[in-house]
Amino acid sequence: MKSFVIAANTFRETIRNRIMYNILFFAIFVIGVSLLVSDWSIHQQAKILKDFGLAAMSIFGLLIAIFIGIRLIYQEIEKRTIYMLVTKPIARWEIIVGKYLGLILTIAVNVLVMSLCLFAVDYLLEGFVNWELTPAILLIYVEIMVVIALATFFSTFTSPMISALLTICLFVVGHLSPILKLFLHTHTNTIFKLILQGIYYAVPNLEYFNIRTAVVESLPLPHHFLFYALFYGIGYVGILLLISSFIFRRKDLK
Amino acid sequence: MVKSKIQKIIWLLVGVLFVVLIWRAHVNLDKIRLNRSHQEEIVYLPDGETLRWASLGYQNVVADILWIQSVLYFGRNILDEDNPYYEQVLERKKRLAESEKDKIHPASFQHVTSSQNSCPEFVFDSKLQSLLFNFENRGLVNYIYPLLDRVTTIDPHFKYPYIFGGMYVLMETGEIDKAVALLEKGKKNNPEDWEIPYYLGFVYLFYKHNLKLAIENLKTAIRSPQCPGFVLNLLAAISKKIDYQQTLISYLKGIANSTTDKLLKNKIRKTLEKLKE
Amino acid sequence: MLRIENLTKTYSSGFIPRRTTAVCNLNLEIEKGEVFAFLGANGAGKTTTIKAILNIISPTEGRIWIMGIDNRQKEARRKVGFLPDQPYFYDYLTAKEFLFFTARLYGMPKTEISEKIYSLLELVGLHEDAYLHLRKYSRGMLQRLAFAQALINDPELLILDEPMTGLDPLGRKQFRDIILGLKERKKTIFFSSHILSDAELIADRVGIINKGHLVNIGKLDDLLETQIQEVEITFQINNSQLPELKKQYPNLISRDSKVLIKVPSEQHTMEVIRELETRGGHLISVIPHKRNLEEIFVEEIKRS
Repeated sequence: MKSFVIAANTFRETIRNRIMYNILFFAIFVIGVSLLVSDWSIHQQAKILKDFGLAAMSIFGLLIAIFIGIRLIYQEIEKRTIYMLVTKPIARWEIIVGKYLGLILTIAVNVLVMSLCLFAVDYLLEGFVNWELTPAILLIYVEIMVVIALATFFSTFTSPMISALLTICLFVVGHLSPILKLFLHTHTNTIFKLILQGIYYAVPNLEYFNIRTAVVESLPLPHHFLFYALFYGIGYVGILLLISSFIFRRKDLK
Repeated sequence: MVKSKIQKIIWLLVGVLFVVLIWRAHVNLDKIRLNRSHQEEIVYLPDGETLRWASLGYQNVVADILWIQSVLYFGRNILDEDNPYYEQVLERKKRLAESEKDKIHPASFQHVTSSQNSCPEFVFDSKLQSLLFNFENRGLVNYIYPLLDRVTTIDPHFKYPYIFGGMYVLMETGEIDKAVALLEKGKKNNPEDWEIPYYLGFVYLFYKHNLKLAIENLKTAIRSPQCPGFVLNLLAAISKKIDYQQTLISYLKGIANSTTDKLLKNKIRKTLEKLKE
Repeated sequence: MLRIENLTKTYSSGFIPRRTTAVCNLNLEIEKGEVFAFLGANGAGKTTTIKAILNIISPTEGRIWIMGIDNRQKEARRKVGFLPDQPYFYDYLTAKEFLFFTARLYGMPKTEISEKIYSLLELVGLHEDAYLHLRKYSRGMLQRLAFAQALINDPELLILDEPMTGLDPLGRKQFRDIILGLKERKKTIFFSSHILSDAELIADRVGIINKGHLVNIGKLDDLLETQIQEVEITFQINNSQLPELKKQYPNLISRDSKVLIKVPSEQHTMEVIRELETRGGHLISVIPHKRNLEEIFVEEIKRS
């Protein structure tokens, strides 16, 4: 499929992007720093290492979404390189999906590198590899996928600055979803409640992708949780790309 | 030629001036901070729930950071040879001692506890009292419990702060009720855990002199699958009201062996050594 | 091959929407195998039309068919090559990587591609710079590469927007030769240009667009022939004859002992020649002057 051709090209483009490396080094740096932190029990050090490591991965993804994801489509349009894509026998949605897949693939590679780093350092510290962290890392990746889909969506119709603001806003709202739910129970004003309900169901509940506490403290996860969270994420990615493709299809390019 | 050289020297001097400015300011700010270190900015921290939501999914990290801050705060403000601010803390302690009105008296506890609890006699032994109720750092770290409360609200499954506050801080500062409250919170948030009820048992027995609650908590501890065997023996010993020193030693040994924390381990070891004297 | 029906494109922009019409009611049909030159001043609507053909923008009204397929379908573009007015390429790629990427977008199988790339780069004179990153390319080099990528899928219809810009005279000749070569292979070429002399040299048919309207269209020869011919007669004659000659032919130009007289048609030519020979003049040359495309163009613009 043509999307894969574009994905491969986008992968080549983004993996050479310097910002990617700055952020990657930052993440690895954080993992390193967390080791210097304490002189307490190894158990605590390990906990702090894992907490910081997973958080670094998550924040890395978010920053990538903001610095690269937002420009993905916008830059093509601004620099007119989009002409070379749009004038080929390729549908507009294939372009959007292709660019998205390319960036997602780059991030997968980066998350893999960071994970290996984390596992290695953890092994040095605790003497065994904590494979239980894997579901948390997987869901961190799914969350990144959703946020980048959001960024891609905004970048089809607005400037990078506004895209960044909107993406960050939705990230915050996404994590405050549980509070929204609480609010819904306490407020009786119907209009307000309807609006809140709308927001609650429309905005992706990013907290569903946060199983970091459970994983680090070795708490049991509800059965099938991982699968539902995965479907939730993929569902949102799908919808966002769909809407982005629709907007892009009707767009007059300069 | 000469003009540009002079210009360069001027730029250099200006640079040096700024560096000196920063240096002097830094030194003086540090001094001021030192004198106020016990007050900290903790008072202005929002409450645990707010912080939890403000963490936006990064609760663990925020809890960790706050936890590190708590420990640093604690370390800076107690009487300990390793504390670089030892002198300031000593001064504060002296000022406190002058204004101190109520001192922990073992006898007062006998008054408080009713016969319903029927604590064994050994609990009130004077040697025991002197060991466990010698609160060197009383009143010096008043913000430790609010801090630990926030940490545990942000990350309720982070076990160590509960134990740190429930045991170590208790043994240093004597805030018995706060320690119990913290441990109870820990028990509520971590129902499957055996360690917290174990420590609760200790505190209820030797500090609150409440035998009933001590036994209840030990029973709770035993129910947990990870509970080690010696706890069962301990429970048996207490129920039969056997030799106090053995009981205390067993309890303390249990803690010393099971805890992975260096601070608490050392403290308990020291206490054990003093007991043997 | 290419059919444009009632193409209209209006833009509304600004806070209080103001409508600007870029193209209005354009009808055009291009036959297979012809070379069509689309001429117009800046802002006349040439690029808008081309963008509409290639589905870069969608028309406000009207439809376009490429090889019988509605241009909104991606299949319509399978055998179309496009050369944009300015090269917009990924500058982090090398020429080879870029052409490979383009070829894959056309669905060409990997096995065919490398050969094709090599031959194309040779054709446009870039085979020595194939491994350079595009950010290091000069304007002329980029233009050549643009041509190469337009040809990569062996297109039946080539759409070129100002193909000669950025090229030196040698480059222009090379491009003209390539286009003529394609014409021989019965390819259809639609190009827009400012450089009318190039259009004169290669086009079969010409369309002139002004302010969004197609004002003139027809075979190049027809267009040029319908115009008035002038004939320039150059004679060598004794300067003594000049004053009288000037009375007869007021637009006479003389230099040294040469005289230039312009006459409006072929008939007058013979009269003038006889007259000047009678006066002892010596015929040097007779040059029929056909209006060139530039003049036609300027006239059309002034008219509308």
